[in-house]
Amino acid sequence: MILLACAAPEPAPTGPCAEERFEDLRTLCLVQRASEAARAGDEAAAGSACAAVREARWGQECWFRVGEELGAGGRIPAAMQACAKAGEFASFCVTHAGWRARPTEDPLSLWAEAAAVLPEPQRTEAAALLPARWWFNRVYGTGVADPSLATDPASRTAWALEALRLSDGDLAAARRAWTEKIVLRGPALPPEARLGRYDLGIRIPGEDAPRVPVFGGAERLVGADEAEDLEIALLEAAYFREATGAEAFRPHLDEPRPRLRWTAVRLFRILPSADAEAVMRRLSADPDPVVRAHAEDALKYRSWEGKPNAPGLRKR
Amino acid sequence: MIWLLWACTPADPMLKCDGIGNDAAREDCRLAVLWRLADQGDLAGVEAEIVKISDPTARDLARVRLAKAFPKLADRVCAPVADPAFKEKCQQVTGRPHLGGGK
Repeated sequence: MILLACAAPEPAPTGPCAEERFEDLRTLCLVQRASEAARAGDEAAAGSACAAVREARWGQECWFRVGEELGAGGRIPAAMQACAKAGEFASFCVTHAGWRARPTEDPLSLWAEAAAVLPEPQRTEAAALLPARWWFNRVYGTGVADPSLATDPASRTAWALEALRLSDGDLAAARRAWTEKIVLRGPALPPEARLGRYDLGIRIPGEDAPRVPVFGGAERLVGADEAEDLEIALLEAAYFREATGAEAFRPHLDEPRPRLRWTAVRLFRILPSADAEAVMRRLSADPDPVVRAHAEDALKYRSWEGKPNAPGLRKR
Repeated sequence: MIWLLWACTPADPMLKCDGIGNDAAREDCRLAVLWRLADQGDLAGVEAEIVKISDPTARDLARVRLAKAFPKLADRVCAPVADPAFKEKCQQVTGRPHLGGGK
C-alpha cells in the first residue's frame, strides 16, 4: 500500500510530439518528425526523435525512415549509421538508402567505406551495393559513356546502361563503342528521370557465379572474363530499357558461355513473346541444369505473362 | 438503485466505453474492444464495432490506432479514414509493407 502510494507516475513526455495524447500516436508522430528532419539534413533532430520512440520495432522503423531520407539526400555515411540501428529492417534500409541516393561529389572511397558501420550481413550487402550506386550516379544519365572508366563489374554495368541509352537501345552500336574505345556523348537525363525496369527474385540453384548489384536492389551475374561480363552488362542494360522486348535476348538463348546464357534465359522468360511456351519447353530438356531449372520454373508460373507473384517481379 | 444502475449499463462493450468520462480512457477502452477482435483476425467484427462509435473523429482515431497495432490489417482498417491528419498517420503504416510481417 505504501509502495502504491509512493509510486511516481510515469513522467509526461517532453520534446517533439509531446502534445500527442496517446503513446501510439506519439510514436507515429516521432517517426514522421525524424523522417522530415532527415530529409532536411538535420541528423541530430532525426536521431533525437528516433531515440524517443519507446517501442523497439517502431524505433527500428524510425531509423529505417531516417536512413532512407539521408540516403536520398546523398548523405551515405550518415545513412549507413542510421541503417545500422534499423534492426530487422536494416537490409531494406541499405537497399532503399543506396538506390535512392542522388548524385554527389563524394569520392567512391567514402561510399565504399560507409558500409563498415553496419553489422553483417548488411555490411557485405552495402559494400557491394554502394559502389554499384556510386557508379550508376557517376555515369548513367550524364550524357557521357566512356569505356575507359569501365574497369570492373560495377562500372561496366553503369557504362553499359549509358552506352545503350546513348545508342538508342542499339546493342551492336554500344558493343562497337566498347571495342573501338569510343566515348559516346548525348543529352543528359535529369537525376529524377534516371529510372528503369528491373526484376527481383529469380535465383536458380546451381547458378554459381559472382553477382553484382544492379539498379533497384536486383543483381546480375558477373562474367567469367571481361568480354563475357560486358555482354551480360549489355543484356541487363537492355532489360533496364522498358522498350526492350524478349527478342533482344533470343540470340543468346543457345550461347556457349553459361553465365551469359543464363542471363539471356532469365530475361527472355519474364518478357512476353509469341513462342515463349515453346521455347521454354525446348529448354526444359536442355543438358544444362540451370537452363532446365529456369525453363521449368518459367513453365510452372508462365512467367512471360507477368502475373503477380510470379518469379520475375518487374518494377520500375 | 443498484438494480437501476445495472439495468442502465449497456452490455455491449463498445457502448460501455461511451459512458467513460475521461477522453483518453474512453478511447483506450474502444481500442481494447477492437484489439481483441483484431487479434483474432475478425475484421468483420472490428468493422461492426467501429460503426458503433458515433463521433467520426473518434472513429478515425480508433482506426489509426488499430492500424498501427495491426499493420497487416492496416489497408482495410484505414480505407474509410476521412480526417486528413489521421489519413497521413495511416499512410505511415499502409505505405510501409515491411511492417505487415507481425503485429
